[in-house]
Formats: sequence, C-alpha cells, structure tokens
Amino acid sequence: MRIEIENAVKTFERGERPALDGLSMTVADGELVALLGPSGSGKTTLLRAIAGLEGLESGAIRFDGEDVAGLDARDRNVGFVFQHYALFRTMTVEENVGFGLSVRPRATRPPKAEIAARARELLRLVHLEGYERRYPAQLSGGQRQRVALARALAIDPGVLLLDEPFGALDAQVRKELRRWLRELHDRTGHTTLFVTHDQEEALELADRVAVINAGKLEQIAPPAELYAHPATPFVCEFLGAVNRLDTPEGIVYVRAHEIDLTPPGTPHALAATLVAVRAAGPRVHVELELSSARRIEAELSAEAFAATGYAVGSALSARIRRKHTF
Amino acid sequence: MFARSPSPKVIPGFGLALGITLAYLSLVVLLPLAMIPLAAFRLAPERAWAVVSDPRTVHALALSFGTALLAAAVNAVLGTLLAWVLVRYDFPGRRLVDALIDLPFALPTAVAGISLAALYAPNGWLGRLLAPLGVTVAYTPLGIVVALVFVGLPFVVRTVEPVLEALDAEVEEAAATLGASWSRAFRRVVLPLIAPAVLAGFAMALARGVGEYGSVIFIAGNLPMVSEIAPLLIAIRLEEYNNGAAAVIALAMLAIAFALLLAINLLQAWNRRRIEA
Repeated sequence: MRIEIENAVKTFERGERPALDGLSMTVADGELVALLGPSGSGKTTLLRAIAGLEGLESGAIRFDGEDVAGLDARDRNVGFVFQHYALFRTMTVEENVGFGLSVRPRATRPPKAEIAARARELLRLVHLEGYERRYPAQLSGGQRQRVALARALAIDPGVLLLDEPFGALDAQVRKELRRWLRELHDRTGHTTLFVTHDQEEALELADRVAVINAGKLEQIAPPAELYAHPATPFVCEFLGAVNRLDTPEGIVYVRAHEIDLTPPGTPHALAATLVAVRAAGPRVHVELELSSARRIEAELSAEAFAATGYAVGSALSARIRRKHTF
Repeated sequence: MFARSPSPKVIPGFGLALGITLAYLSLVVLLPLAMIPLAAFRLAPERAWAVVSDPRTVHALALSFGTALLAAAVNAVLGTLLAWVLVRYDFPGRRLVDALIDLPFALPTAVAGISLAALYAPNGWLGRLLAPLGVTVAYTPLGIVVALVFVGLPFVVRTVEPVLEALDAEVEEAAATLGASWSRAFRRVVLPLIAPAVLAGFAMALARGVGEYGSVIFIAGNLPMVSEIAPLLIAIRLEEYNNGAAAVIALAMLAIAFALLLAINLLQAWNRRRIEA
C-alpha cells in the first residue's frame, strides 16, 4: 500500500510549537522506511497520525490515493507495534495474536479453529512456537516484542507501523531482532514504517530513511545517499560524528573519519597540533587543534594511527578528504 | 568467640513490625471475634442447633446475605460505570461528584435509613411514583437492597478508580488498531484488567452490607420472616437477655461471611497466579 502524507500539521497545546509542522512525504508500496529524528521531533506523532490514533489539524494522509481522514483507527487496517508492546496481559500469547481476527464482526469472523491455526502459524513465523499457552508476563522483552509483531500481522495490515521497535531491548537482542525484521519484511512485503532515534539502526535496516526535525521532513533518501549527500546541515550533523568549521566559503561540515593525518606542511591541508588521543577498540579518536585554536576530531583505525607515529604534542597536517558545504 | 550471622534482610525491623502487627490484630480483631464462639459454645449443642435451625433465624440469615450479595452486585456494575465516568471524562462539577461518592461513608447510616424510608414510603417522592407500578420499596426486602446499595457504593468506586487511572491507554489503542469496536475492547481487554479491583470492591461492599444495621432497620419494616435481617435478630435476642442465642446467630453470620470472603480471595489469588506465574 502506498502512503502519502501531505502538509500534516498537528499541535498538542495551544501556543506550543507544533509536533507536526507541514510535513509531507510519500512511502512506496512494499517499502521499509525509517523515521529518524531526535526525541520530540514529531516522528511518533506522525506514526500515530497514520494509524488514526491522532487526528491532524490540517493536511491529508492518503492510503493508495484515498484520504483516510474519515476513517477511525479500527477501520484503517494498520498493524501498530507499540514501544512497550501493549500486550493484553490477561490473555495467552495465542489469544493475543488471534485478537484482531476474533473481534471482527460475526459476518467476517473466521471460525475459532481457523483463528487458532492462523495464530500458531504467525507464532511460527516469529519463532515462538511452543509459547501459545504462556502469558505475556512469562516472556522476555524480545519475545514480547515478537508477539506484538505477530499480533499486528494477524489482521493482514495494509501497512505495518512500529514505534521504537527495539527501544526497550538490550544491545544484543536489538541487533538480532533488527536483522530478523529485515528478513521478515523481505518475506512478507508489507509496507513498513518504523520510528527510531538510533541512526545506525535506521541506516542498516531501511530502504529509505526519513530524517525528521521539529515537525518537518529534512530529507528522505536511501541510507547511502543520505550519508553521501546530506541535504541540510541538520541531516549532516545528525548522522555520525561531524566537525563544523566556519570558513570564508560558508559553514563546512567534515566527518571525523574523512580527515587524514599527514606530515606538517602538506599542501591543501590545515596545520594542526595533536592534543589528545582516545582509543575506542579498533577505532582511534584524535583531537586536533588548528592554528585558529579551533579543535576538531579525526577518527581512524588503530593500525593507521600507529603507522603515522604521531603522539600528543606532534605537529602535523589535517587533510580533509571530503566536506559538505551549506 | 562467635561469629554473628550476617542479616540476609535489607529492609530492617521485620521482627518488630510483625510483632506489633500481630499484637494489634489480636487486640483489635481476633480477641473480640473470639468472644463470639466462646459465648456460643456455652450453649448446649442441641439448643444451639435449635437456634440456628429456627425458621426465623434461617430466614434472617438468608435475607441478610441475599440482599447484601444483590446490593454488592448492583454496586459492582454501577460503581464501575461511575468510576469510569470520573476517570475518563472531564466535565464541570466532576470534583463535586467525586466528593459526593464518599458521603455514604461519612453519614450516620441511621440518617440514610430515615431519608430513604421517607423517600420510598408509599407517600414519599419516589414511593408515590413507584406505587402505581406495583413496586413497593419501603418495608420490603427491596428496601433493604436500596439501603445497602447506598452504603456500599463508595467501596467499588474507590477500588476501581485508581486501577482505571493507572490503565495504560496504549492497550486500548492496540485493541482499536486491531479493529475492535469500543464495546468489544472494553469487554475483552479493559474488563479483565479491572476485574480484580471490581471483585475487591464487591467483597468490601458485600461485607459492609452483611453487617449493616442502622440504615436497614428504618426502611425494612422488620417483619419477622419477611424483612427482618440477622443483625436485628441478634439485637432482639440480646434485649431478651438471651446472650447465647445471639452469639450462635452471630457465629453463623461470621462463618458464612468468612467463607464468602475466603472464596473471593482464593478466586483473586488464582487469577493472579494464572496470568503472572
């Protein structure tokens, strides 16, 4: 299902900055899109507006070209996975997954056995066979998250919406689930939007990443393009460690790993003094002081740094391989 | 030389706290209650049985527990609705309504009984309206139920209210996105979550209703075998200096009430274990 958002505006409190401030974007059918932004940027509000859990003040949301403004959340056929899963704790895992089918009006409700079979099939899909009779309280965080996903998939939604799907999980489980979600998407092909504030997660998982700031869309692009050609200073600053330099030609952003350490006097390079070294595993962060007393950070592999032979106090040159000027 | 075993408890004062609790509980609850079987057992077993099996006693006990159960059930439904309205909606006068809920707690129940009797008497404001319909409330078992609904209302509202307030809105939103209508979401999702609180309120309203005396005797009419409640029968026996019979009836009440409350507690514990173990 294709989703178009046009000029979405939403203000929660009168006089406050709007949560959505004229945001427009389109998500293609079958696409996996990440909504990336700092907290309070409006990304969750956008997700809730698409689901019908939040109304818009103005603007439109269209599913396959059809305006859904008049449709209640229960009639939009969206699968929503909440940040804290919102499982029904008085129901078993199987009842949770089958809920969407069991509350259909009598005319379209499948028979009980069919609902149970469908729930078991989905639990197999999310690798939770054997957990049918458990209650949510008896599951780990990662398992609950997968039950929530199976429950959302059970209604065969036109679009799958996930709010910080990995936010409450520890790093190990996060990585695993991330890969697994990508596989699942490739298999089922649901149009999927997920909210995250973790740029690594967004870049690794999504077909396209929508960077949202202060209720507006900064840029939507495939991860590689977003990284190579940031459209705005915000996108540039939000993605990875970046140095900001004020030069006569304007504000220049330089990524830490796009700076080479070269011998003093290298042409087209900045004279600098090495003032600090922080080794973080295989990567080394080097702090440099330019002649203008401005400090910048460079990042290189531990081997490459060892090969230069520089230490704190060394005079050297910083050669900028690539810069983004705005 | 001896090594002092390290205390495994982080929270201090367990022994002292438990000691005070048990002493207090014994003094305030257990000791007075223990006097009832002591007094009852002073009666010869066959005489005690005669008191319990007396049709008047049986009727009074059945009436007390029957009306209390019915009133608690009515309160469970209406009290839940009232709590829902107070928690979910903001309307002018909400605080006033909220304060009104507790009034049955504060009022001497005799005052409630007198006003209810005046209201529901055949010539009272409400009694007049009900009389043509063939419904008499005052001086019938129905009047007892009305009085017990009045005194028991705060229990359900006050136990359900905080639970509803703490209910995660996301759970209802999840039900909505899955296509559940409001009524279905309430029945399948919300109700099971607040059921333990409703049941707890029901139990308290029931307990209060069984022991209620002041408001009931003014509206019940107190006809033996028709509208005479067990607490009144106990009072009558005491006035006759028949302390033994009074104690036997009291013991019967105590046993039934204890069994009912125990059953409710076991139900609660079973439900908790089912979903949390």
